[in-house]
Amino acid sequence: MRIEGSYRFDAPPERVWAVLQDPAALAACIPGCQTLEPVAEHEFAATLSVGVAAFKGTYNGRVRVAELDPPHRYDLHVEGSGRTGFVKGVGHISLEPDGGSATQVKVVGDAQVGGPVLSVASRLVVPTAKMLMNQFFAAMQRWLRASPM
Amino acid sequence: MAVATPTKAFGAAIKRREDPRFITGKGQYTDDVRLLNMATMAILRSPYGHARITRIDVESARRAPGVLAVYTGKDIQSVAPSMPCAWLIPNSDLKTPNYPPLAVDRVRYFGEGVAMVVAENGYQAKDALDLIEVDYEPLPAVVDQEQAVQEGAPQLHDDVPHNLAFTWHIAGGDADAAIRDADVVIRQRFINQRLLPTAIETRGAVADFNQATGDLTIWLTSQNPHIHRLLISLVLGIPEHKIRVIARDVGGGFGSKIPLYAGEVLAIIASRDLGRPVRWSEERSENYVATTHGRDHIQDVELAANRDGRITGLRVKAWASLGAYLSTAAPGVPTWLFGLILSGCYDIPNADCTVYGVFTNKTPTDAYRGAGRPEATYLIERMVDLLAAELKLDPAEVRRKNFIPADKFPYTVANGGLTYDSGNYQGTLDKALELVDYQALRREQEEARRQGRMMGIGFSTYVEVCGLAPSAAAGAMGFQGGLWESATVRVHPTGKVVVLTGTSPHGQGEETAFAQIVADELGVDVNDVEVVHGDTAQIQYGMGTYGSRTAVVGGAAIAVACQKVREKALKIAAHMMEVAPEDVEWADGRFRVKGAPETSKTIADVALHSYLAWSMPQGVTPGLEEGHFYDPSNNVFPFGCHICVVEIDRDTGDVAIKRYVAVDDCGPVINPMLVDGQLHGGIAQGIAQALFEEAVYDENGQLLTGTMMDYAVPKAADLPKFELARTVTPSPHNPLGIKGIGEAGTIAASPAVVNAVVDALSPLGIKHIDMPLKPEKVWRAIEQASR
Amino acid sequence: MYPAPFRYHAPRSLDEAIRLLAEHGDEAKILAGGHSLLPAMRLRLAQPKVLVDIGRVPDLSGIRLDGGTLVIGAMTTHREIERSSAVKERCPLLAEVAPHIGDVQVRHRGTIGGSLAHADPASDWPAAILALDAGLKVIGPNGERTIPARDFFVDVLTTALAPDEVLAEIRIPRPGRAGAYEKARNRASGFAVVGVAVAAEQQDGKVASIGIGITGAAGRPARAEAAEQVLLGRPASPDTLSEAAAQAAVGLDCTPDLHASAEYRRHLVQILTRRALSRALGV
Repeated sequence: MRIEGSYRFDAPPERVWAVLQDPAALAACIPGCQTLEPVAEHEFAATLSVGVAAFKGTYNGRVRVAELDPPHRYDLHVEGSGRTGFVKGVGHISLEPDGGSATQVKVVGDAQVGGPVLSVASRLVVPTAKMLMNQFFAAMQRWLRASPM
Repeated sequence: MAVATPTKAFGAAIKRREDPRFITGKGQYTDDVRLLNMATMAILRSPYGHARITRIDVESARRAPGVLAVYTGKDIQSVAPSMPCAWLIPNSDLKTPNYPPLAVDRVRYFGEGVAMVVAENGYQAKDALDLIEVDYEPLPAVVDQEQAVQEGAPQLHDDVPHNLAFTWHIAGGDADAAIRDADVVIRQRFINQRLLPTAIETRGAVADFNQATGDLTIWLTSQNPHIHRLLISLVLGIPEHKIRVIARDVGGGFGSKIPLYAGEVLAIIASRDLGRPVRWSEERSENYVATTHGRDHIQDVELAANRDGRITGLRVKAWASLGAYLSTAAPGVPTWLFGLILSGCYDIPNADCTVYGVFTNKTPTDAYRGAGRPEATYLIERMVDLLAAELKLDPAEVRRKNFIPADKFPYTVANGGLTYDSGNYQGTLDKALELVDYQALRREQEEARRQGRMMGIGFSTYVEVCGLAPSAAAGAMGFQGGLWESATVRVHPTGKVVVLTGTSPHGQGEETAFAQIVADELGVDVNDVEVVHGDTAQIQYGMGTYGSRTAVVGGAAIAVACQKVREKALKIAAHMMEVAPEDVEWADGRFRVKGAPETSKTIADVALHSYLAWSMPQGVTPGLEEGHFYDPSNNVFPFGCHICVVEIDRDTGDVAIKRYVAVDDCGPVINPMLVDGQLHGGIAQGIAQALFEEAVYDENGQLLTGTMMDYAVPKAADLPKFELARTVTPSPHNPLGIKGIGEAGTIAASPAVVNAVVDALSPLGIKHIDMPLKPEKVWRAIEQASR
Repeated sequence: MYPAPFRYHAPRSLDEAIRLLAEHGDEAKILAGGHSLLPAMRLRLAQPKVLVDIGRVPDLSGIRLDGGTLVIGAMTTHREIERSSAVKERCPLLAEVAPHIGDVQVRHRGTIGGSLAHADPASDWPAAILALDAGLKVIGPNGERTIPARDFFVDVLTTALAPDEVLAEIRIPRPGRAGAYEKARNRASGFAVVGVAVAAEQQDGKVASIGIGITGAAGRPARAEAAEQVLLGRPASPDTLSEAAAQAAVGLDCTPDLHASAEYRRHLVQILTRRALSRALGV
């Protein structure tokens, strides 16, 4: 499954970068994130309660940041599994200045989703993944707006 | 005195006698069985296509409310190490890797069982499944059979190099030379997609083991209860005479209820351990992963012909996906049931067929309606159309040119030596052409094309091999059983008749058809005949229902048993009428004194006499009951011509079937309503394969079509009106002259539809599209060709 | 099939229903026909702890006229809408859409409100509701409000309904407009691969009002606003219709799945829009 998205932040790349790497921001903005514990440098153990409408599940997994090239690009590796399925994927995230004071964040993600949920509801997986990604970046945009310069 | 002639039941469109109980909810399916103290079992299934199991923790499940037992693969390993394969094809280097009922340390397909829970009820069993923790280490999966045999592909079984279960070859004549010397050679690759059989009743079992007596009674969704009894005995070591298998009503099978599965074996183990009845019933999404799938064939085909359209040779290489393990009859389906019938109804002197059976990370495959023969028929019928297109000949004309002529029967095919019993292929083609008004239809097509509409006409002239038998052939093919059938005909003192058949009808309507045979043979009313099937405690032995064999082999056994009853009854009747047996004849359903037909006895008269037995002829024993084990001398070969007319929506690629005409020949028809019903259902499944059914896996071995939201079973609204007609060419060796019709519709329909679609698209230069012809695929082909 | 354990409530009043929803928050789901929720529960994909069955709440079903507005109670079944003479007369588009849903048995149980609140991205009603500029009256602890259809569908299976709100009515303004629904049907589910509903009015030879609702194509149903703009105030002709249809997929983030690629869906949106416009506008 390939998903793509593009998000505009009203801040220069350096600031956006800092927020995107901030564990507190991540914990607050990852949809359904219940716990986010650092387990190594750039790596977290996470418990997520995610889903859509009544289709909710609890997933345990890991989030790892790699290939850091601040403030231009990094890879976000996500791996998780729950009772109804599992996901393993990587998002290639790049930050590009947009004018002087804004940043375009582009995401190209490639994820493997599996388990019973894929078998019985594959048509909802891509739109749900997109929705969760949109929710994440929308929350990040709000976080950035709300956090002091 | 005028004697009333009893109505002949054979040939009458009598309504199905089984239907009142079905339509009023009074059938007894496996899941209807309720026993005192019955527990329910549920199976935890693998979410991965291929993975190592690194840990299973069942402790919280064991402590969950209502849980009676929890088992993992390790617990089962010593009790039932492997599921059986019962079709051991010879000269093929067949590998039969271990097939554990529950995975032990590795799962090889999505949905493979890894643990099971038995609880007081189904809710508790399912709740407990959620508490089982399994750690998996995912392994690379391989889902394509051609890739699976490549160097470096993921290996499923340590003892099966390159995932190659077998290589099977059959040939006759010299296909290589024919291809080398041909005027024209057509080459095409076909993909015959994977399908989910989707019987309306999912599989299930109720196992009741009596610890005191050691008796096992098991209600089972089975097409062959006696074979299941034998296999259960072999797998679990329970003596055969201590096992009773009951399959009273079974809601369809399409081949998927032939194999022995892990589910029933596990239910038996649990019942034996707990001393309680254990019920197991698949959910639909479980059925889609745990019950065998069908087809999944890749074929490379070469057809050689002369410039005038005469076919001279055929060479086929096929890769059959067997899934992760060998199901009970799996090796026979893509080999014998495919390779022997490859040349169809054409006189092809040189043929050569190689089949590779390959393990892949998918649900095991086995028989699915037609089993091998649809794959063969699709291939040859598509090739004939491709040849006609290449030579710019009418596809009907090319068929005519290559048909085995009606006066050449019995006809022995080049590859493998099947002998077709009888046929008149030209006859069914002519009748179908007339019915559809072929010349007018082609003119209509020209007119449509002038208007920019895409109309197509497709043929399928098929012959199939069915009535699966004889036992000697089964032996030569490595099938681990006979292919005869048995019958007991028991006439009660009041003249009512009970027939015990070793076949196991599961929706086809043989309770009606068999009663019709008996009614004529014994001169009794159809309603005075009870047909009993599906219970190993009542019925002698039997081989079951599959391969369109039930009426042909099972019906013949009944007819012969009836004739034996009559032979005995004649002696008693003669004694009753105080004449010599030579002076008695069977006429109009009664024993009559020759020359004095008003002196007569019915079977009922004789039956009462025989049971009272106060005065029996010398040497004749009391009672009126005879049995027969019938082993045919050959298979039967029904045939026909199906014509499909389609119109394609150029903008969306949607295919609409405008007409569907089928002329079939299955010899004399016992009950035309039943035959039409079999054709309707069969054609529906064939059309569905052509247009929309497809089991889809992703590259990790995840089944993506896990419910009917994504797997398209045919619905009435998807289908056209079927215009059916028949010709009648009896089988010369069957006592009733009959041929099977259960699979013919499915075998015939897919190529007729695809040929029609390709015909519609041919002005764009489109030569082939693989099934299913979903709108997007057709649209893309149109877009590409119009560029 | 065995769902996970849940508690079942069948309130007799809307107040009671809302109170139950407020009490249980995220753990509760409304049962309003159950033709999407129950299958998901049986597959254990959905495991709500509490079900609030609003089937016994009075006054939530039925079809009536309120001045110029056609009002359909949320618990009205698809079948009732299909067979209603008021709907046939006042809003033929709805009568045309209804038979596309499931089969007769499903239509006898499933409700329009249940379907809209579930917001399956491939269901049929949203296309019509959007095209018709319907208002969705919802009632919650703080009283009622009416959400315009175009604000109701937020994302896949997600609406503007708060967890403690109940959808009560679907209000169709300006009934009597011409309509048409064109659908490429998923052969497996019967849902829309793409469905396009058009509601339109012509005055003095020009398109006076037009709504084009699209379902199935993307993660949420949407209006084809660019296409509408092409037609508004212009005469309906083969050329203007084609021009509009070419704009129908603008802004749509089409979803790829097993049954159709994003590209094919985009193509279908245009083809089906052209066909629906043609029928609705009689061109």
